[in-house]
Amino acid sequence: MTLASPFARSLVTVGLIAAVLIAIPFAGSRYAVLLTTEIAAVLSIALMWNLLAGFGGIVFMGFQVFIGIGGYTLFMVANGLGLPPFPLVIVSALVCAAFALLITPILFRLSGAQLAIGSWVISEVVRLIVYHTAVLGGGGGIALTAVRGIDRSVRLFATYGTAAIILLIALLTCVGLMRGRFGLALRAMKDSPLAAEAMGVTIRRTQTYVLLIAAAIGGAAGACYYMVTLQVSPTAGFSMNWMAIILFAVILGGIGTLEGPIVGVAIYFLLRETMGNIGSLYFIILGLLAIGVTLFVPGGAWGLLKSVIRIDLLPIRRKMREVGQGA
Amino acid sequence: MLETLINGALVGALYGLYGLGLSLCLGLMRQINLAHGDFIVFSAFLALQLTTHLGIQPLLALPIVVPVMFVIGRLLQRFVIERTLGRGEMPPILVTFGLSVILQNVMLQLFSADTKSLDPGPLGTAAINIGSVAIGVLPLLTLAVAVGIFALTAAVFGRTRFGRAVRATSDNEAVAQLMGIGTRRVFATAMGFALAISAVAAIFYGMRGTFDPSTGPERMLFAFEAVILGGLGSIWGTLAGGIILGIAQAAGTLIVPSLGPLVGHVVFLTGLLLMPGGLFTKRIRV
Repeated sequence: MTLASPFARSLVTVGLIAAVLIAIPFAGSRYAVLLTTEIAAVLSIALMWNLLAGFGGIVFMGFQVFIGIGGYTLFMVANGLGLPPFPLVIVSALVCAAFALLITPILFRLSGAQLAIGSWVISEVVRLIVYHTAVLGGGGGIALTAVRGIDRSVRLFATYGTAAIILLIALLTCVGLMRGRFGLALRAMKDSPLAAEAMGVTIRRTQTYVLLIAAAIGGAAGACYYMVTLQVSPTAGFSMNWMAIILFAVILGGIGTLEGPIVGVAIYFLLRETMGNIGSLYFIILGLLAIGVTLFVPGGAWGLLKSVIRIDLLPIRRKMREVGQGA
Repeated sequence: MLETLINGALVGALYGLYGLGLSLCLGLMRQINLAHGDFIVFSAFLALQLTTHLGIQPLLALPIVVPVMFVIGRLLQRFVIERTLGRGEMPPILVTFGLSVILQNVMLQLFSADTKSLDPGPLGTAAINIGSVAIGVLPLLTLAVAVGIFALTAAVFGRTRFGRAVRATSDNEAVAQLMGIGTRRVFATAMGFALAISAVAAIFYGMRGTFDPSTGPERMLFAFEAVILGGLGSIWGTLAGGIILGIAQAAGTLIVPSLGPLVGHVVFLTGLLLMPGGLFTKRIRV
């Protein structure tokens, strides 16, 4: 029927992505490496938001909060200790997870659309606090001074490597989680919390876990993104534009599938690189596309593509075993 | 200090008006409109066009802007939001967020990023002295108009056939249809009301403060906070929620002038934690 077991097929796909990521520094130009770093960071963030919203049904519309906190944590720790920032993305991940845990009592009082706006309020609160904190540079933000002594090309490749590792972790986390018990619990919870609870899924704990994972990896990827720009400010780090990019990429690719965010982020960067600098018109086009896709092609670009090629690259669906077919 | 807090309460009436449109969406119709704030800003820009081209007082723009927004609300419901209903929680959030981003960028293209305001003329500086406290006539007028609109809305949605039809539709659309209610038409009209109210709020907003294409989301957050603080589903609760938010923000500005919105948000989150149902909790119907 199929060539290999679904899990093996997923690993092949992730392996292919890893091979491409390894090849780029050898084959690509400086610009290609820089662009791939950015793509890897944005894709990791999109994968995590999709895990949270598309699979878990937690439509967290303030996801930029983790990107901002991740960036600020990295800058503060690296500048403070005078260390190379690259491995410190782990600290960003931990701080973001801790923050996620801190907000659960408020967040999970809400659900659905109210949770969406509530998470937006939380992000605004953090942005305003950072804006008014002198140690964090206030409205002007801070620069990553810790990289000053590091050679430019070392910096380029170290940032690239960090982003690539985070992306692979994000992909493997998604595949691993969604193929296991946890993924099943997550999707059951999204379809019907009541039925899932009756089947033994502890809703609150499942929601908390998925939020922590998404926050940690999203925060690390955000930190990585700001290692490229070397400057983080409250207006940029906690910008609603992040949410627009994540949302449009995930919707265009196909929300609630693992391949969706990959295809969506590819479309996003393809449009961005080819359309050039048309500013606000670009967001109008993306917005119209996203609304059109949600209304008329809920499966997104990947859904369309799959109806043609009929193959799951990162399969997570389960098939009922037929009698006599065995394991 | 008393003056600041009283003025805060009066600004709060405006937040109540922001919230009322969203309250109709969220509480009565049980749907969401994340572009709510952007429609408020859009209405303010419409009013600005009228006042600059016709040279009229902003309040005289009301008879034009309000019906225009009513029609836009109906069209929005018929052609966009309606298509997302009955497909889970996600599509309405995604579509109205997309709409919010589109509106912001369309306004940016049409009206530039410059900060604008509506000139209220002599009304802006007129004040009444009560003892040692000076209270602006415009804020008082805002409160009076807000109370009037809340009373009208409560009457329309609480007592009329139309209001019953809206509530019946949000309770059970299929049964409402069996009872002879044109559910789609009813919801479209309710959405028209929501945006018409927002248009009134927009004109008072434009006369009291400044706006630019990016200020919409913050209006939506204030509106949402007023609705939740007041208690979802309670119309008058939204006015109370708005006034609490206004006072909280005014108290914040007493600490540091730019700290108002932050203190408002924190009061909202604290309120959510301590009283999840809001001030005027309605029994939640499942």
